Amino acid sequence: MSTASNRVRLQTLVVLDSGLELPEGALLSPPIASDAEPYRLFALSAGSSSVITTQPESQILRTTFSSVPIVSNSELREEYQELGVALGELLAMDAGDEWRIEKPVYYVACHVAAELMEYQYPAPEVFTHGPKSVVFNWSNESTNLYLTVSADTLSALISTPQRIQRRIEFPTNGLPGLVFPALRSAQLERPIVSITKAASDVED
Amino acid sequence: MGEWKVLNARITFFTVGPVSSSDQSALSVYRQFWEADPDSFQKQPNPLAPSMAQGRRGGLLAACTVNPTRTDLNLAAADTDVQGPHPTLSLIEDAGQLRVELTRITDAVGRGVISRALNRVALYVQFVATKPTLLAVNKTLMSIIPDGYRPNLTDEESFIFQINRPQVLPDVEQLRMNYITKWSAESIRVVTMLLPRDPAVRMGPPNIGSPIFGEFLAASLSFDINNVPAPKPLTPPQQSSLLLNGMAWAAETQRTCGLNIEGFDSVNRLE
Repeated sequence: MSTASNRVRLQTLVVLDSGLELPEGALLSPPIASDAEPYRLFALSAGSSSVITTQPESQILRTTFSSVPIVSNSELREEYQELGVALGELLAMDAGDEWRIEKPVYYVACHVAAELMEYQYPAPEVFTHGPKSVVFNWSNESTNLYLTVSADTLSALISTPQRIQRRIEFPTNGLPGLVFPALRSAQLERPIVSITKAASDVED
Repeated sequence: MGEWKVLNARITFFTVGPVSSSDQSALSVYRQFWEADPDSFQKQPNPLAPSMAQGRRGGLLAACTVNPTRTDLNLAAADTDVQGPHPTLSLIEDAGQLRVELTRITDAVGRGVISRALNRVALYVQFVATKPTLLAVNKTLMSIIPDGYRPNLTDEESFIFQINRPQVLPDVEQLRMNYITKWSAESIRVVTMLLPRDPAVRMGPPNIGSPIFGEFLAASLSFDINNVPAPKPLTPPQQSSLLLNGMAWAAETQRTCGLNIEGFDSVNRLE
């Protein structure tokens, strides 16, 4: 018995805007009357699907687990991207500019910033002391940590408005990784949890 | 065990100390490892962001990412040219080709093509078997977890079990290596965007231009083999030796677990 449902056939349609034409022979019908101006609707002839052959682009998003992703990691990464832009701008300044830093300082500062990001430090404020160093600064209530980065030395200074509490210097060549959590611990006067991972994967 | 395929593999080099003005971008790293230009390259947008390059190597998609503190070489299946609108999970069909590419990388590393000072290298390989249900995923996982560790799984979700069997390598400066094995139930989401081949054709079926999501359940076995950071930079032969050691271990362990991936069951240097 013929019913409305078994008489219905799927029909490929194509929608064109006013400036486009399909190759000859691809169309089954003249434009279908519609109120979709400025677009025109056509039925496609059998075998003409290659006219609009599609090219799939697939991307594996990520494995999805029930656990909640750590949002702060991506925020931290964004803040460090801004720090990277700032360092790039300091390098690009004119030779006579008082904010300009030298190339060797720039490379060491970028490396130190990348290490700080790995150790989940909050992104620091940055300022310069002339072309031969940049200073990263973190404030914690009345305590400040200043990390002065030059081409060959890393100098940490922990101070309050009243006095310098501690000053430590390291050569930048071959910095042991635990330097950064240790400095943070000294500034905050409490232990810092630093998780050493055996796995080599990247944080999200 | 023909149901198991490689989802992806990665070799990572960890940098020690600041990089210099002559530091390699992803473009130059890609060219040095694969002796060809990539299909796409994105330069470093700022000094703390990565540069990226990727291209096809036969049925594989090779991608190189250079970060300030690490360089990653990723290998996955190149997308197949599917006409249908349904997303598919691309898996590496030819594990032998993957093994050849990984070996090519380790050989090139031994010749010193990475100009950065490195104190750590890593090899990661993930094998998966896609299944229609969570019950089937868990059953598959139980079949490959060794007797001493095997839990009793039925319909639990998000199963993960990971162990590390570190060893000291007397031949390479007494370095300690991590040999991590992870069994897990994975839910992998794939998004497909259909685009017209001819950019002039901007219109078409309603799904063109709209993302289509597909979700796949899979039993997964992954290996992460890496050395703990060495006290001084590794020489190129040491880097190569550690990676070859990792590949040999991965080949042996997948066989022990019963995956028997054809083409990935032995590791030899390229002639």
